Amino acid sequence: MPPEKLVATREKEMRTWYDAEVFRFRMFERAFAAHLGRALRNAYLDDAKLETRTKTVDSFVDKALTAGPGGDFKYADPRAEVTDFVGARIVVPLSTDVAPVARLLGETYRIEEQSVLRPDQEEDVPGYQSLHVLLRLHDEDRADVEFRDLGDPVIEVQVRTILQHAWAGLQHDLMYKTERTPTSSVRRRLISLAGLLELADREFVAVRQAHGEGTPTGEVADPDHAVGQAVVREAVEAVFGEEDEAGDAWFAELAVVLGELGAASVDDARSRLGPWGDRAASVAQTVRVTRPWAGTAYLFDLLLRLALDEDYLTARLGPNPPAEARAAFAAERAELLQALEAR
Amino acid sequence: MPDEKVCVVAASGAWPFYRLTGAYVSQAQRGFQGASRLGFYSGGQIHGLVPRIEHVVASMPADAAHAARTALSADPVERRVGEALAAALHQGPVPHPVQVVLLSRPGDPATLTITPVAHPGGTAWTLFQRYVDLTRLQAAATTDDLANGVV
Repeated sequence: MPPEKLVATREKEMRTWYDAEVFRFRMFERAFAAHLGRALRNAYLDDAKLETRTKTVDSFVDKALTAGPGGDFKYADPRAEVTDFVGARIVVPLSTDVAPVARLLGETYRIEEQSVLRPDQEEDVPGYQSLHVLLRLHDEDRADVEFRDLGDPVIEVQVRTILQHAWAGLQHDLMYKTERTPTSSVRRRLISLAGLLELADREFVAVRQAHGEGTPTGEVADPDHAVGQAVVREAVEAVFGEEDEAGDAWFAELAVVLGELGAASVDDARSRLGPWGDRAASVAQTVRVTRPWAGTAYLFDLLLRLALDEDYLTARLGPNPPAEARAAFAAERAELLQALEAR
Repeated sequence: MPDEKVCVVAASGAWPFYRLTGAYVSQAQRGFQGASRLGFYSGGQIHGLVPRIEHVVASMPADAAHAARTALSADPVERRVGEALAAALHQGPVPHPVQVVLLSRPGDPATLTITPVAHPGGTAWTLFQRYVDLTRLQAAATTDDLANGVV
């Protein structure tokens, strides 16, 4: 912890600064709530419940005084580094409803950062899981009268399901609002409960589909990959260095393929491309001569076929793929390699 | 051995589409009355490639979700169906639901090459589809030579 005198000085400085600024953030929060609320309604995402809040002065000061690992303050300049002065939470019914909201955020705002898990969260351990997005308004929206003179603050948005929200609230109370440090047994039981709720979510998704309802976008719902498709799109677009206009269905489907290939994450899938990853743009150009419709999801799958060769087929069809499938796979691969060589 | 029957379809868009994809996409449930091959008529001629009909999906939803699901399939037939649907959707509006017919590709030995059959008349030889025996088609110089063998 920094010396007492430094702490006292910083506390006074930060409190004075934020006392003067908090009103502007509250005004911004109200305008942002109205703006995002309209966007959700216009996209017919009526089941998404929006809450917003502005950080309180005490909460900001506490954060500004947080100690870092080296005994210094965690934030060198909290006024510039804190990202949740204005925060929003969008609670949706089920995991398949997260992706449409994520897409809307991407279409409506400038995304600065996006992650599915907290940095300290293991991907394969159930628990606090929600989509975290840091975003800002587009310049043209900032020029609107409702945002005029309110600055350009970053906004932290969380998107989570009803069940994730319930779990997060309950575990927070249990973990942080009691005097005692939770034992490893208590923590393990909480993780088990998170897994249970994840299974419940999948079952609700299946029931909803069986009942004849699609996802809000009318696209293919895949409980395993509904959240992942936005991440898959972003990663795949980065591989090809282009924005893809193809619908989410292609990325949802690619997420299924990645799952069948046993890829633990998009990064894992990307690493399996090996040197083919560097040839993505050239493969895209060659393929689009005869398949002008080929989007990045299709092309990424093609790169995996090139990179993994027969392993691709056995991963998806089992150790003994039908002879016809093997022959067609080999023929397509050879034809493509020839076309690439001819370029 | 009975002669093979060819269904010749009106093909102003279908002919270049076949050349590109090796497939034919039309409205759902379009029958071919037992024809084993498809021919293409446009621009006053029956074109010079007569592919074999390899697989017919008589009806499927014409949307991106189904195109994606099938085009990314590990099954080669499903994959070709998806690629054809994706290509059709890319070109513009398609009937919904849609029929996807996989054909032997240009260059495939199963695709027969014939001398294009000219249609000398001022009106289109077909605006939908007509049937003709393969041997008669292979021997014809103009559509007049098909007169007795055409349904």
